[in-house]
Amino acid sequence: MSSLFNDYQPGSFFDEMFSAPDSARSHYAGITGSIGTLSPAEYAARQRTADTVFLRQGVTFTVYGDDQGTERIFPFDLMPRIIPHKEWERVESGLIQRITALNLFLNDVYHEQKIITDGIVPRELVESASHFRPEFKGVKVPHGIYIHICGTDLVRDGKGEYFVLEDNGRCPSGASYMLENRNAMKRTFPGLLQSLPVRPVDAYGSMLRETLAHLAPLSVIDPNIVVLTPGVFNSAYFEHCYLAKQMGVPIVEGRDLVLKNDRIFMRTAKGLQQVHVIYRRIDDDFLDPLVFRKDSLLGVPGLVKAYQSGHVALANSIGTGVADDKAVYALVPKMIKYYLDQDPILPNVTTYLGVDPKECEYILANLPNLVVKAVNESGGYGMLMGPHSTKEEQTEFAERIRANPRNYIAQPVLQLSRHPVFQGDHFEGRHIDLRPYVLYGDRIQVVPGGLTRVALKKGSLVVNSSQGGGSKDTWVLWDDE
Amino acid sequence: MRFRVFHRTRYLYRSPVRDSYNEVRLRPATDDKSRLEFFLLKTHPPVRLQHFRDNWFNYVHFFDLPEPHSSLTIEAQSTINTTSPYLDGKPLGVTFTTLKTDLDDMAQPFLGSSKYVDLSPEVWRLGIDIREDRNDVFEVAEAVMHHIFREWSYAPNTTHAGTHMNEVMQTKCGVCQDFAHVMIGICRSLCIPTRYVSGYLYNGPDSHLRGAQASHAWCEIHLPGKGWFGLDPTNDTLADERHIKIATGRDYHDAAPVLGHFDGPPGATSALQVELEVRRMNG
Amino acid sequence: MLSRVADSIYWMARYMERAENLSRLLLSTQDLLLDAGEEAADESQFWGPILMTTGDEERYDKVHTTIEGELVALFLALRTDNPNSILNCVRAARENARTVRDQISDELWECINGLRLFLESPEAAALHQNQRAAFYEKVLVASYQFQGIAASTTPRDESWHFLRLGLCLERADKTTRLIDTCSAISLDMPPNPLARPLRWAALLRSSSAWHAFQAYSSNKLNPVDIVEYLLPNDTFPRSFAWCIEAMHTALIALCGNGRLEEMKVPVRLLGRLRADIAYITMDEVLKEGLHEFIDRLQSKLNDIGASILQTFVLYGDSAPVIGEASFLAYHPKVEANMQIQQ
Repeated sequence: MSSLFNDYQPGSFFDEMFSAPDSARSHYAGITGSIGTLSPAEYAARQRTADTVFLRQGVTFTVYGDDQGTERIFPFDLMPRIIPHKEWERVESGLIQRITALNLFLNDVYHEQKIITDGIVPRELVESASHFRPEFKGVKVPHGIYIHICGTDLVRDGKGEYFVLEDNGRCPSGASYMLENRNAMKRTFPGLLQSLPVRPVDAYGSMLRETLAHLAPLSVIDPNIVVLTPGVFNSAYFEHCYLAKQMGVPIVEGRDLVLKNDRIFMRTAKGLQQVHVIYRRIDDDFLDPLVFRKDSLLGVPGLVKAYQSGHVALANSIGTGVADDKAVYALVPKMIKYYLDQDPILPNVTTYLGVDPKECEYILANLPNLVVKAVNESGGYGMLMGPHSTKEEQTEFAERIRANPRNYIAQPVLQLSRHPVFQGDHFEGRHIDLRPYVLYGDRIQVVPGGLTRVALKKGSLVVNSSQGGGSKDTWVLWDDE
Repeated sequence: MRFRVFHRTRYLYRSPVRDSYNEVRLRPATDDKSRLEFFLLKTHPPVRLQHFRDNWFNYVHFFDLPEPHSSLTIEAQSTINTTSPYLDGKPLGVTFTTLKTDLDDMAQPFLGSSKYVDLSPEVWRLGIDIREDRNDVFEVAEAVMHHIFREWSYAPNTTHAGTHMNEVMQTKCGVCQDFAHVMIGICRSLCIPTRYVSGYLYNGPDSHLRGAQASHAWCEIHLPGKGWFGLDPTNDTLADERHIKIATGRDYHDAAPVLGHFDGPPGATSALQVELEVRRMNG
Repeated sequence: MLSRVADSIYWMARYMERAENLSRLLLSTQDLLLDAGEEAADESQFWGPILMTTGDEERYDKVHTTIEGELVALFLALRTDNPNSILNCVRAARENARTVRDQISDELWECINGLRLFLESPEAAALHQNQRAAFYEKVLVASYQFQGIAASTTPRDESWHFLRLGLCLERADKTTRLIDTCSAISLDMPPNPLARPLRWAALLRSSSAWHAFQAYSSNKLNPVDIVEYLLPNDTFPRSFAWCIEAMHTALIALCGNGRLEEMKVPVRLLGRLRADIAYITMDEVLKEGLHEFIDRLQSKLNDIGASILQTFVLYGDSAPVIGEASFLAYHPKVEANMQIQQ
């Protein structure tokens, strides 16, 4: 049968859709039978329809380093990524286990530090993490939860095994793209979504609101929730607005909030209105000029004081970045064992720590075969991709690592799984990852699916939007047994 | 049937307590009839969890909480896949004679008295009356179950976690834990090895079975060569795939979900909130 | 609604209205010159008062030494170094709209953004160079679109009222300034009935009131009637009285009327001004002197503008707190560190 996928070559990678040329995995059967029968021109027309939806909706992000503040569309590839039910359940369990352990860890390091005294995690490693907030030690946070919204990056290796690449416990972004991708799919392939048992994601707004409301002081029946944004010039401003709209809560900037009697109020046209929960999309550093960066104009003077006194709650809490530190990441399996007395369901990627002299030696000796990452960078910055690097770059990185070994980790190069992506008139394999969103309120909930990011450049392993990445809709199927 | 269980217990203290030590049995049991797919236990304040297997092969997680705290939350989540032990019908055909001759060593501890179960003459007499001249063990166990369901009244808040079976024999009212103890007593006095089961009951979207608001309890009898079979006197039903087993033992004390002690001022008693949700899943 | 959002919506509307008024003023002045015949020889007579109206004389004098039509028109339309040029007004409106983009309709945003994109393009400069009237008309049409879209897509909540406040305050201000440009001219009917009271006609045109006034007045172009039509008469939607009424309505919707002691400052000031203008006679106006009267109105408008900002945006932290949190009594139940199985 002639099909759009006839000439598709899965290559030597783990391909999400094809186990061999012309042999689609069973959970993609619904797609090959429908999308596969379109002509390239018809398919291209659908892709254009989807692009128009994004343009019209203004689904954009801002590219820094461009003084016009250019807003760009996050490229969207129409071909959905499908995850079968059983596979998803495992991912979901693993994420719940992981966010539980991370929160226990954060609560511990900001209080008794038992995991340090018990010798599981070295004190220097925690206290030298640049996002560790010693000034925040001993502060009680609502329900002992630190990370309420987590966007964990998962990848699959050459065998299709899922690995956790990093935890984003500060202000993970991208949920709006997840929602908009689904909307675009609904417009382009309405029948397909109806005929397949795809789990919906559109409850995210109400789930998020519920999660945030759970943090409000116990005495408040109908809490006032706000989204705190750095402002219109922030690259994720679209997302901040979008989520505020989905939740039906106001979006505010630092200057809209004032401190009074240890409480936070927003300045409305009618007067001061108390705020109980702040979903902040501002980094710790800029949150409160009285405590963190003095020059911050984005934050609210006194916010930390109000938070400590329990009159207002922050999501995520302060100091969660210590768990994002890539050297601390390497210890998460140990945390799971320590706090939960279990083995991790989702494994980490093998990680060599610069801070460990033996492992550091290994890193320096194997630079061409490793990915070296600075522990506090995200978004694909501060990285050395060993196999694609020049001798000069390697020498330069080696010096940097020797100068500050604590600041670097290294991982073997993973052959990320690939997925068919439409390129002009045919499909080609591109590497992808997955960022599911975990919400920790009264219960832990994982949104079925998440954001599948695609490295659109041929052969590239970098999926970040700032570096030429795109995204796909992610379909988690209901069990159809 | 597949279930997702969420079980949260919260103890609130009037004033801060310290040096709390707790043993919890909240991990659903696994055997050839049920498969545990996911389990997560956590507490607040956070602690380091460790576990051991007790005499009855239950998973026991234990933890210390030396720092002063004014509340303790224990939260267990699990995904479990169960099948009914009665798929081949009722295990009839085991007589009281074979019960004696083929008795399994492992069933031995479940024949005598234990902390909450007392084989008093009244119980023994009641057992004889219920048995009449029947010789099939399973039939008799069923008769005991019917009898308790008929004669005892389900009355929450008339008993507490530490109520002894003898008291329930007098008052003829109580909740599942008490009914399980009475049934264990009667069966044991008839020389049927019987054990206490702590677990959850799936209530169904609209049925009104008792025992779904808190964790549930029932009992199991041992039949030589056939194994353990559950009977639920609270609902007068065989314990099938809707009954999710967590722990077993001689009585409540062996299988209790949470057992703990702490240092606090006298009478610094606590408040208890239990939140339980058993949801049926696809697949 | 957040104060900042209210403020941005208010200024968005004000700047759009300012751009519109400026366009109309430039257009009608250009027309006036065509009709002026010999008088038009001295252009500065016509363009000078315009710079006065917009309050840009000083700024203009810094850039140019002579008052010439070409220069003034360009200065007021497209010069980027004039903060009050049409281009800069639209830019300011767009910047305000951008910060509240999620609070206004997409259509409204596109309208403002579209106008800005046009004004910044080379086509705009070319159009202004070659077909000036078409340029001004394009701005006018965009502003009408803005108002139409605003009226049909803005929910009648706080956003709408702040939009109306900004628009009407700006319009009232510009109407008084326009009338003031004529205050130095005699208010008597010209002795020669054939002589056309050009300036007064231009005033009507600058206010879009030409046809409306023709229909209203049998007395043709009697200057006193014209002033009456544009000041205390509340039938025409650019008259001062009409603007004040509309603002008063919006303000009452925002913060209520209530008893005098509880009344918010801008409501009180506007109510007083509204009564003043509603019950004044033209004789009284002329007795006081048109310029002096207008001066007084403008100073009141300034007070009102300041009090609106003070009340809704710049208020201090001592301002009242809305609603007090309600508390739930919490009654824990007492038991031991065990849990019964039921």
